Amino acid sequence: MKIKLICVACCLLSLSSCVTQESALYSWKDYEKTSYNYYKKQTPESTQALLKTYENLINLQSNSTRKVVPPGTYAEYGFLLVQTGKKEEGIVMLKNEITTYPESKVFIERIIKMVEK
Amino acid sequence: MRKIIYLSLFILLLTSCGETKNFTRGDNYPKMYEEKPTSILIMPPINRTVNVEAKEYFYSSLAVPLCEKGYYVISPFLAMETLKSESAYDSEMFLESNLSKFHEVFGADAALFTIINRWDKSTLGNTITVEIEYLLKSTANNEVLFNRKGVLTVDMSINSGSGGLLGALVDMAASAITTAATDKVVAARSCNNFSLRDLPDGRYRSTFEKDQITPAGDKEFKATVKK
Repeated sequence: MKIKLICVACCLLSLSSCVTQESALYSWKDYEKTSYNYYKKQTPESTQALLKTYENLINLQSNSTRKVVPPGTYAEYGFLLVQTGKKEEGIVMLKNEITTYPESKVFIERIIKMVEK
Repeated sequence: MRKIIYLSLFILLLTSCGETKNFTRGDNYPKMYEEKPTSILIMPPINRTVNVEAKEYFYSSLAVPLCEKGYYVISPFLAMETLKSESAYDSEMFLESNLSKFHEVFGADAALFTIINRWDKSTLGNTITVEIEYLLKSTANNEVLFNRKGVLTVDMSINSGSGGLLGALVDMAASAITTAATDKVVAARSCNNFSLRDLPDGRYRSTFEKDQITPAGDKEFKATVKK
């Protein structure tokens, strides 16, 4: 009986050791779905859905490992805000990307210059 | 007798994990640890298949796994606008060329090229078979930092694992929800997750610069994964 138990325990242990589960750095919500839908077909509905996703990504990171907004989120949100007529708010978001990720500076400054024209 | 059976079962289980233990990330990708790229630009995938949409399945599904690996990923959606306006949307012409321009324009330390060589959907077996190559190249010296290629079969059949009648019902409902298009995005995602698993961790992971001894699979692979 004991041997059986030990065998089972060993098997379970060796099985579970194959799976290296890494914790998620960020919480992505439904980003993969809404962003794909938007870039596939830009309708008022898909735009609204994506804007909502960005808001969630920015406000709800408390459960993620880094507790920081994922790379590109502020930038994409800002760009979409500019495209939907909210230019000033959008530029603030684009600047947030640089503050959060200084390595984005070169590219995002280029985008800001482009939308300010 | 029984003991022998248990013992052999146990050994079988142990060895079944062994496949990935021959190499480490440090052995396979030493240049990653020398250059330590922080930011990655995803190049529009090079599609050598007749399935025109395969390009966007991959283009839209690469950013999340790379971010989760701890890298800063330049938003592909924003980069796409710039690449198109600079008529640089065809990555093929940059595969062998100088990449310093991408450091200048995007501030990227490395550029990720993907080459899709095959995309076959088998309706009968409910699988998607993809032959793909991933190449991460430095924008500082054009050297290949990370590369993996292979054939991956993604098993698209849904397995809720619950079994019984209820399980079957759940399976049916789940199949009804997954439409053809999302199925393909899911397959591309599985493919990225499998292939990029061996990429050394980036700056935003706590294991950055400490994962050289992590086991890695072959640079060239042939595998089947569940979606």
